[in-house]
Amino acid sequence: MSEPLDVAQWARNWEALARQAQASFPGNANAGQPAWSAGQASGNPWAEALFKSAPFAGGKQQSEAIEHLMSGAQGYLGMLQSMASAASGHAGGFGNLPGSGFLGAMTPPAAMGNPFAAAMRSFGSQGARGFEQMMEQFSAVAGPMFDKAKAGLHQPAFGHLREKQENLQKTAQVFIDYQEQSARYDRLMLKVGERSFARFQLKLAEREEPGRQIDSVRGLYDLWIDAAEEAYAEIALSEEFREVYAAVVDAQMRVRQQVQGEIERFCGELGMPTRSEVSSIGERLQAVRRELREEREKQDELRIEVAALNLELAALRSGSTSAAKSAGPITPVEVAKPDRTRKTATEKAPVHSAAAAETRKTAKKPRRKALSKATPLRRGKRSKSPAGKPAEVAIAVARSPGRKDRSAAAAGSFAASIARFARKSKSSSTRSAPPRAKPKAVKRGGGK
Amino acid sequence: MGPLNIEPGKLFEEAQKFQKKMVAGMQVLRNLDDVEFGVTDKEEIYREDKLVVYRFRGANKPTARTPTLIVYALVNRPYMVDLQEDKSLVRNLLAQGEDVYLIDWGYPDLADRWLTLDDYINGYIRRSVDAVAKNAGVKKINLLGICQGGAFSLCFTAIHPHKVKNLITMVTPVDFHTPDNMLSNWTRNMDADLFVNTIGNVPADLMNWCYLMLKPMRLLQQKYVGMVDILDNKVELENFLRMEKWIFDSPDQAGEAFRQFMRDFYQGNKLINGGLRLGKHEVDLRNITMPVLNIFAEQDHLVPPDASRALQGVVGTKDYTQIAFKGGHIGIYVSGRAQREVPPAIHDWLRARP
Repeated sequence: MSEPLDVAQWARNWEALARQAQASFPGNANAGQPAWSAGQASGNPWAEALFKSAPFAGGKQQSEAIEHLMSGAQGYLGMLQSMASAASGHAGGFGNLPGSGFLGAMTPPAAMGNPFAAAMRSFGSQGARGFEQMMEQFSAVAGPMFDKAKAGLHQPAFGHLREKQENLQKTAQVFIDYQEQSARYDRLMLKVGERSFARFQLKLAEREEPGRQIDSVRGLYDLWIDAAEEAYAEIALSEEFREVYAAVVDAQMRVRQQVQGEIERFCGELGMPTRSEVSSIGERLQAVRRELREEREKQDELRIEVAALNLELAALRSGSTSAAKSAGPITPVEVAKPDRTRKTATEKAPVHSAAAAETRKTAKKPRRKALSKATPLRRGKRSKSPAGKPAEVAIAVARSPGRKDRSAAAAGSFAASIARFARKSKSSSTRSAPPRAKPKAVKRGGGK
Repeated sequence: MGPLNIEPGKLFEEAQKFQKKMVAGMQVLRNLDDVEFGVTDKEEIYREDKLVVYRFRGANKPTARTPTLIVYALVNRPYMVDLQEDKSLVRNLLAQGEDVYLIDWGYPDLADRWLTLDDYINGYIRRSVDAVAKNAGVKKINLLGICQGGAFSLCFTAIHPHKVKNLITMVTPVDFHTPDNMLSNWTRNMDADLFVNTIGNVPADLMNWCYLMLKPMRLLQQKYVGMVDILDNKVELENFLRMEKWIFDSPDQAGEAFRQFMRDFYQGNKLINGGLRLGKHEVDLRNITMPVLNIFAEQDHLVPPDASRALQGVVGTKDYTQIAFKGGHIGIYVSGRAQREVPPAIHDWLRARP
């Protein structure tokens, strides 16, 4: 153990150190004046002095961190301060400090303030950009009216000012509601403060055993933080908090919405664009962009198909299927074509859809015939076709043996592809059907 | 015997030390340059609106055949995965031979107010995945989803399983209704429509404030008292400020997407309960049949471990691996342990599933 503390001497030393440090802060108008005083129990003069001196002003991009540092240091310095104050009457050191007296000097509000309640109010200013400020200004202007209006909030409105009166009533109502919900939240946060302190005392009691005692202010500060966090977490995870938090946020939103509405009405009267209008335009714009993108993607798919058709056309012009093979890689879209080719192989259908429909109609009868001739093996394959048109394959297979020349079949294939392309262009929904992979059928048909 | 054994002389020493650190810190802070981040070379391979997809360049060519696309959360900037030379998940993955890509979402503004989750997941992510696959000349890629980006990756993979070879999720919330989920508790009863209709895009400051309020005393006070300890150490202070910059460098949240995330994920818990729809697609996690690696942090205060562990029971895959990392939500990227353990674990797992 060290020598008993000569608090007076310690305070003089500390003050000298403080003066020295303070004097070194540039631009400090109070340089040389006593900044810290160990005897001052009220407030947090050490931290205040540190804050006022703004030692880090002029930093580059660290201002926010420094702001937090100063704020955090206030709590810690507050604890140092309160300990020194408490020690001034206990020259024997801190080990013998009566718990209640010492702790009384550094109850949560005294040592730390109540950051929780303040935080909710900051919820507006931090997140919703100046809500608190808005509330202050708003209440300064409209506050006196509320007292009068409170009694008549539910009175019906009449006459040509009916709408304005209703708005005023509603504004007053949401404002009062927000105040009430905020008060509920504050009460809950005070409960956090109380529980923090109770937990802190419990934790201190646990440290009374030899070897577990706290030997630094920092250790004490950390213990306090642990206690406060535990108490806060217990409440923040509760059903009660869930309900109160939602209520206060909702109430705040209703106030903001009401005020926004009033501002919009005012802007509307002046012929100025409003946020709602901008938002509405944004919504439409987004919808248009979404549609545009979808269409563009469809176009990309069509482009691939056109490229495939061009390849097929080139192959036809060259007059041989081998040319088609050598023309380039076959895309998945191309794989889906042969059944169409076969279907229209005997029809030579015109491109337009009405004719295509007609060809489908005329193709029905022979299809049945073809089905009846198809082998069980072929039927099995047809039944696997996902597009529900297995017969077309069989038709092509059944009819193609008598074909005179391959190029005629191939020409029909191209026409059918065009017809299908035209239908696809009109309805993209057909694209969702899985590709019918029957390229072999062409070979078979053509071969026969 | 009382709980305190603070010797008066030690109290003075402590105060003196604090004071000295503050004074020394002034000098260091004044001379500190802006902190840099994002240290690994990268090239842009795809751009759309404010989104950019980057491919990172390592010292050597990647040995992995399948590229890995990192899908980060919307609520923070993705350079956390490449914060500085000795704290870079990306750099370490590259060193292992992985081919790493990343989606940078940018900073949404009012023009993005009406972006939906469908736009993000079936639009931006799908096109990014296609761009990466095209760039790498493959049909399927690996997805590495982080936090909210992990939830998005789960949705994407469930809808487009044919585009994903292996799925990795890191600190990803799946069950949003675990009893220790503070954010969920706060948002459960909130009127999401009133909230978004009123404020439109959700301001970044508000998001930050909510995160700080998860542990207000630790994050608003204790952390900065701890900062005094390193005030006279330039390198450590730079590291601290770099992290600080990342924490508060948050984008606003597109209102419509936020509304849906709050309603369907935080309130409806639809990843677990089912019924989640994104545009014309229904999200069914049973469609995720490819290998899944789920990494979570045991001391995560944002995404409780149980919220991530829940993935095991809801995906359709038979190849599910889970790694519990000893650390927190941020430590899993930047701690020394993370650098040693996480990238090799990811690489080994991927290498076994080429």
